[in-house]
Formats: sequence, C-alpha cells, structure tokens
Amino acid sequence: MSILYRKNRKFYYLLIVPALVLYAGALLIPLLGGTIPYSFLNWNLMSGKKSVAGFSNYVKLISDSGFWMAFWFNIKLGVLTIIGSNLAGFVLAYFLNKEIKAKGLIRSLFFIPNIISAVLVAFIWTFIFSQILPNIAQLMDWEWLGSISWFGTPQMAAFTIVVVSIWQQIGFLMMIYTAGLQTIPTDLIEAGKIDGCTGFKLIRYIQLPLLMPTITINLFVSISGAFKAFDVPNAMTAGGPYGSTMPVAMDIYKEAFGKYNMGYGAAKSVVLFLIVAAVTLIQLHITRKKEVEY
Amino acid sequence: MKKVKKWAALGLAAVMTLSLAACGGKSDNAGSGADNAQTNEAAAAPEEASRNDEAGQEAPADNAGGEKVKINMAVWNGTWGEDLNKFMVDFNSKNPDIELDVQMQTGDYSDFLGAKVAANDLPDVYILTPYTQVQAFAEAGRLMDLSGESFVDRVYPAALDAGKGKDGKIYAYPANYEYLGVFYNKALFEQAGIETLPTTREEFEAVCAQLEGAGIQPIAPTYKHSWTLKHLFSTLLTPFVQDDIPGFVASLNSGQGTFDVEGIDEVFQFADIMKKYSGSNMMDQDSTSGFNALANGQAAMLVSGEFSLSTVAAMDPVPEIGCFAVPVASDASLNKLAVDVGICYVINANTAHPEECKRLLDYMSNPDEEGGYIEIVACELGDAPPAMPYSGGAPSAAMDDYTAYCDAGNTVPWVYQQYANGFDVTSGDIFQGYMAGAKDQATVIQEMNESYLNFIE
Repeated sequence: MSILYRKNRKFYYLLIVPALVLYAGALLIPLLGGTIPYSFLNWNLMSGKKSVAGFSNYVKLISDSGFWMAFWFNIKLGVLTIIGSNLAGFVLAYFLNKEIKAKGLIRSLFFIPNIISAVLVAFIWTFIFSQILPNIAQLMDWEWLGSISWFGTPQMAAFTIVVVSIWQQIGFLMMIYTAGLQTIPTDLIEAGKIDGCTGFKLIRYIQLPLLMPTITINLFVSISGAFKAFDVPNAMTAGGPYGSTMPVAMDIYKEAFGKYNMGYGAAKSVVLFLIVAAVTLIQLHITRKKEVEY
Repeated sequence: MKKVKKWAALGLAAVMTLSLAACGGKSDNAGSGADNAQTNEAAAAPEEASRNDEAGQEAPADNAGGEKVKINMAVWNGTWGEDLNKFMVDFNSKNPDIELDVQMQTGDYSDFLGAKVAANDLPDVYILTPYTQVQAFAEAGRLMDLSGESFVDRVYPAALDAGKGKDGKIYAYPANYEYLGVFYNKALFEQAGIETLPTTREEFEAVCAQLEGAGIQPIAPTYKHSWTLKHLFSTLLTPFVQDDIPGFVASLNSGQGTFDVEGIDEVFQFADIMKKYSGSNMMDQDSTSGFNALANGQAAMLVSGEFSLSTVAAMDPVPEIGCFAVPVASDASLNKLAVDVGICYVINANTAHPEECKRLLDYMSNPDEEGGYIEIVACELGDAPPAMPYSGGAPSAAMDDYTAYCDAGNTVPWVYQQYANGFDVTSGDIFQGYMAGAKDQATVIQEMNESYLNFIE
C-alpha cells in the first residue's frame, strides 16, 4: 500500500459512508431486522396471528415441490437468457464496433428495449404472440405458425419469456461490451494483426481475454438478474400455465402477499438470498481468475 | 486548502449518493402517478378546493369550516375508473367538510391488501372480498362493527351474509350483486338456427356443434388468465354442492374434505366441451381478447361474469347479449345462475374519522341519492346491479335474464368466495392445467385437495 493510501485511509473510508448509510437503511437493516427474524415466525397476514416457528419454515421448504419447481424454472430461464443475451450482446457490440454507417443510431435502437419498462415490453410481446403472429399465419396460410400455442404449454411459455428477456437485456449488455471493446488499446490489436492474428483468432486470443473484466460484470449482472426475474414473467404469463413459469421471486411474493404466509415467504427469500450470493461469489471467483492485466 | 478540498469531495460523495436515491424516489412517484392518472385528474378538483381553503383561512369570510377531514378509500381496478372519479367528485361536492380520495389499485388487489396489512397502513374505507376475507379481517379486529348502519335495512337480507363476521355482526356493506353464467350473442344464435337455450350439458354440446356447423366459433376462450378459471371452476362446481355449501366448505376447512364430490365427473365433462369448442390456441387468449371476441361477434358464447359486458357496451352498434345459467349438469334442475355479492365495503376499525366514513357508506348505499354512487356505478351495460331493490340501471337482455333467474329463485352463490383465504387463486391455477390438457381429472382433484391443506391452519 502506498504512503498516500495510508495517509488518507480515514478519509477514504469516510467517502463511502454516505453510500453505506443508504445501503444499510434500505437493505441491511430490513434484511437483518425484518426478513431474517420473520423467517422464524408463523405469521398469517390475514388473521394477524404470529407465533414462533423456529426452523420449521426451513424444514417445510426442503420438501416444498412448488418452491423447487420455481427454482428449477429460474435455472432454466437463467441459463438460456444468460447465454443468449451475452452471446448476442457481444456479437452486436463486436460488429457495431467496426466502421459501419449509422453506428450510433443502430446502437440506440438496440438499446431502446432496455429503457422501456419491462411490463410494457411484456405486453407488446404478448400482443405479438397471441394476436399478430396468428393473424400473419392466417394471412399467409401458414398452418405450422398458426397452430403454435405460445402460452399453452410450459415449454412454449418458457420459450416466449426467454425470447423477450433476451431481447430486453441485449441492449444493456451490448453497451457494456462496447465500452469494454473500446478500452482495448489499438496498438495491441495492431500488433496482433502484424503477427498474423486475425479474424476469429483475434477475438479468441486478444479481445476476449482483455474483455474478462467486462464479462465478469456482465455475467454478474445477468446471473443476479436471472434469479430476481419477476416483471417479465409476471406480465407475460403471470406464472401460467398452471404455475409452470413461476420464478422464485414471484413464488415468494405469492406466498407472502397472495397466500398471506409472511413467515414462510420470508424463509423462502432468505434461502434465495443465500443461493444467489453463493452462485455470484463462485462466478466472481472463477471469472476474476481469468482476468488478465496488461 | 487541502482540508476544504477533502470536505468538498466528501460532500460530493454524499450528494451523488443522495441523488441516486432521489432518482429512485422520483421514478416511483412517476410510476404511481401514471398508474393513477385518471384518479389524479379528478383528485385535482378537490385539491384545488382545499388550496382555496388554505387561502381562505387568511380571509376567514370564505369557508367557515376550515380544515377538511380527509378520507382515503381503496378499491380494485376495473372498467369503472371513470365512474369512481364521478362518484368522488359528487361526494366531495355534497360534503364540503370531507375530502374523499379514492385510490384505484392497478395490480392484484389481494396482493395490495397483504402489503397494506404487513405495513399496518390500511385505508379508512376499502373493498374486501365477501365471506372469508371479511371474516378474517373482522376476527383480526381490523373492521368496524356496522350492524347499526343504514345500509342494513336497505340491502337484500341474503346479501348481508357476505359481510358478516363469524360472530354474526355485520362488518361490511355488500354493495352489489354480480352474476356468472353463459353470455351469448343473440344474433349469432339466430343465424345458426338455435331457438331454445340449452338447459343441460347434452343440449349445450348440441348447441356448440350447431354453431360450429354454421361456421361460428362457439366459445370465446379466456384461459390464459387463471382468474377466469377460478370463476369457471367455481361456477361448474357449485351446482353439485348447492344443497349444503356451508357443510362442503366446513369439511374442506377441517382438512377432511375433498373436491371429489358427487357429480364432479360432470364438471370435467363440461370443461371438455368447452375445450373442444374454444378454437385453436385457446390457452393464448386472455380475458381481454375473450371479452372482445364476444363483443365483436368472433365467438357466440362466453362463460364469464356481467363485467364482460362493459367490453360489449363499447361496440357500435352494441350487439344484443343474453345470459343463461351454465348448464353443467345433465339434470336441468341443478343448473342455476351463479349470483353473489361481488364487492364489500368495510371501514377500518382504527380510522381517525369514523363518523365521516359512516356518512360515506350511508351515501353510497342510498338508492335515491341523485347522481350518487349507485346511480353512477350501475347505469351502464356491464355494471353490476346493487344488492337491493333498485329500479334504475341500464336495461339489457342480460339484465332481464338475470332478473328472471332472481325472481324465480333460481340462483346459487359463488363457492370460491367461501374457500379458505387465498385458495381461490390457486384453484384457478390448478384448473388451468386441466384446460391446457396437461393434467387429468384425478390429478387436478388430488392437487386441489392437497393444496387446500396449505391454506388452513
């Protein structure tokens, strides 16, 4: 540590105090003072009765097929959207980093889905799937398209949610990848080119390794986002058909505010919190190791 | 100098953090503002008035009353947003000492209630679902006893049950009757040559076949929205338990009951007919597209409630839509129109203004109030009739059919409102599995039975 750091250490800590206070007030205190203690209670919101439950909520959770079904759906949704949106985001960023016309405009167009509210996005797509596509099918006499029931089976409903989630997230990830690509010094690229490293090899051996910090951030954002998915599934399928597209966040919400089991809902959120924390820590650990410095 | 810089940096860090927080706060406001845009517009009027009041205090000649009593009222969303604004303006103009603010909840209302209960921040006056929800809220001491209020003598005696607590006291004003049945397009029935309405399941299937033969889609599906299936399952089930609904519900609540009642096969057979005649991709259609399909003549029938007629009313010309009881049973005498109280208004036991809230309920339950609540919310096609003798309201074929069923005593209640709190929503989700063809009858019944246990203590 530098002398400057040691000299100013107190001041540096002081700098994070305002943010820390907000973070504590909005997150730590409710979590430690609310959610975690509640998870040890039997608390029915409607009757208002509270009683100490000990670990019974957690024990119940282990055999709660609904919760684990929701969790499994989250994993499916997560894997598909994370891979899909990161791949597509990178490809877009890569090509939009080249010398092409109206680059800024095209980037903005890809970014727009990200600034529209997720609920609106979901409504637009629901309309496309349930009204526009069947109409196109009818006009063109495409029976294969017309006979697809987009929300009728768990697989198709999940598919529509994945498509919309990817479509919505692409813009944001593309922007970060673009920023990452632009920080790579051009002399490195040029040196690589002179040494005969071009095309796909250039991406594989020079750009991707140098992009690892960006990939770390993007994976972090999309993994935690996937586990917290709520708005798009809620507005598109409301968890249907028959609860098959219910992500954990919605399951928790329904438990606490639909079935009025506040304590059990709190226990579910604590478990979700622990799982997400574990997954993201592991991910950070792995991708950090791959980061290179130059 | 260095010190100053440091402090400046620190201040900057604080400002940046706070500005982030402010961003969040602002967008929140913007969100709710947009949600309640309609409500706000109308709310602007009384606000204006109260601002005048404040100005008036400096010049005391203006308004002697001074401070207004503010009452908050929460209702669920629906097609009645404009009506509620009118009612709010009317009430405020007739009661200069009260400022009523009606907040329409856009999301799921039961979720809203749960959140409000958790935050201990219930409004002064609000809507509850009849029966179990009122009972649970009353038991928790959240509701004011309204046994002595004026509405008790005004509404039908049978409707009062919907707002009774377990102790027999009256805790809620049952504001309207709603009905669930088969709504049908008279012109399309005529076109297909159907002269008599089906009274049994067999006749219903024949009608469907006849419609289909005439190139008309028989049934408008709404099955993507599981709440419509909660209504459907309840409507199909009730005829078979109508003789002893309290007994059926009590057995469920004891944990020993089952949905495998006598006649349950007929429930699923009727659902099969609906699946067969609802067109392709029926699981993609939600309540909006289903109501539209009935309104614009894409389909001849819709199994839903009178609220679907609001969509019909928006058509030009308005098609003539009639209503008949869902003919689920082969025995025609079992098939009755499902009529029940749909909305209960309650007063918060902890309200700071009990007298003003009671005045509000008195106003809302007065059928003779000119330009008042009942006149406003019951005047159009698709509006639910008040749960009391009332001669006003929009005349319609469906309304005539409803009146005929009521006069003949040919009605049954909605059993789903009497399930343990919260199970109604789940029943719709489970039944959706059957409509989508993913679960068979035995699985659905088993899941219903098992799931019900989670809702009883």
